[in-house]
Amino acid sequence: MSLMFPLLAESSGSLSAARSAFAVWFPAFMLVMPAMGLVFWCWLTNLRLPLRPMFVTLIALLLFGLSSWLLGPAHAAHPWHAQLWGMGGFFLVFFVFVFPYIRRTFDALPEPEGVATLRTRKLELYPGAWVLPWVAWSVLVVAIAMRGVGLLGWLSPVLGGVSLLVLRPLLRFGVREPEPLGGSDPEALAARYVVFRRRRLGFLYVLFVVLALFVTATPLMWGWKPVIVGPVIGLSGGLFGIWCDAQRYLLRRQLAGQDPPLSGQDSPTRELQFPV
Amino acid sequence: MIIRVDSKAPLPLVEQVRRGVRRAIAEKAVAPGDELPPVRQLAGDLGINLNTVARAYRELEREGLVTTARGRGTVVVARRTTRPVKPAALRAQLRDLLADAKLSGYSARAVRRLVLTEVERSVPARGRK
Repeated sequence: MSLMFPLLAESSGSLSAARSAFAVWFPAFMLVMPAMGLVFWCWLTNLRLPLRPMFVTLIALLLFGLSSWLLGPAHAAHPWHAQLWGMGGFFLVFFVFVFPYIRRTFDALPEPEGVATLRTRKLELYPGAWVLPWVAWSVLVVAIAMRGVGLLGWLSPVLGGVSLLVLRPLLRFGVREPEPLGGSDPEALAARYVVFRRRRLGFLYVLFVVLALFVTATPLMWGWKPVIVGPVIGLSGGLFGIWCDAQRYLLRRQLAGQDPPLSGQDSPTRELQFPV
Repeated sequence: MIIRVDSKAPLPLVEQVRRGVRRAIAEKAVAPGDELPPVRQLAGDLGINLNTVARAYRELEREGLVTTARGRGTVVVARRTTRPVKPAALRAQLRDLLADAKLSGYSARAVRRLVLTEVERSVPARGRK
């Protein structure tokens, strides 16, 4: 625990209590995450929820509980026990049961027909989108310099700066994401791609800037702040990724003519309205 | 503004892309000064190789219809090709098409209607020369 969140341990003053809480909640949360992601994906796409990953998650949770009980509170509270179950369990459930299911649903759709628009795509962001994050980053760097940190403390601002540097190429790469057309109304599909692209790139921009500034500001944070903000950003990224994949799936389904026109009010598919 | 390619068609993909862009220029879907999508974007959307689109763009450039400049991408520059089809060649192509129509069982009236519809669609009466 102290290796993971030293500031938390110092501020709480109760290392064992924090360690116990972490040992229980972190693995449980990580084990449930893939299944929750799948529920979210099925909700967005209106597909039937597969039961196998749910059973596997339940079994993994039971095994984790059994392991904690057999090892006893002292050993179960060890960071390695929580890390092993949390990270190992997450990757196992996600890559063996959840990810293949999502890939299979994409594979079940017919290949795109080879139809495209001759319109060029542009990156549409607000004026000053590239300047404001650098201004905020500079302010944070000045604050860190005034506070005075060791050489290792400068690693975070450097990482934040590098994140801001790669932001523009990353978004340009996002603009070039293939948008195959076809179906009965390619123009309507093209219009829907425009909406999806704006939301996707807008949210990616916000997420990346927040992440870069959070990483930069970590030397100024203490207590619960980094422990809360970090996972919130990670969770937002995960939900955003699932939402993007669900939208790609819905667009492919419309392309394959398996959905009624999505411009209608009685569309059976759902869309989240991100405030971007 | 829509371009279609069919990987199962006997016509090479390069030729399909070239014809698609030519048609868009001829039908005024894109005008001189308009930027064509980058090679990577169009290839990704059509699900074909980058080199296929790049070759089609190069051939259009040789025809004088587009120009490719570093930093500006590929831009439409003219509505007239520098390699116009000779009337004899055009007549030969038309005869081939009519032969296809006859052999496929289309009546003369159906072919005439089809030709007139396509002429109206691609060259509206007001803009026809």
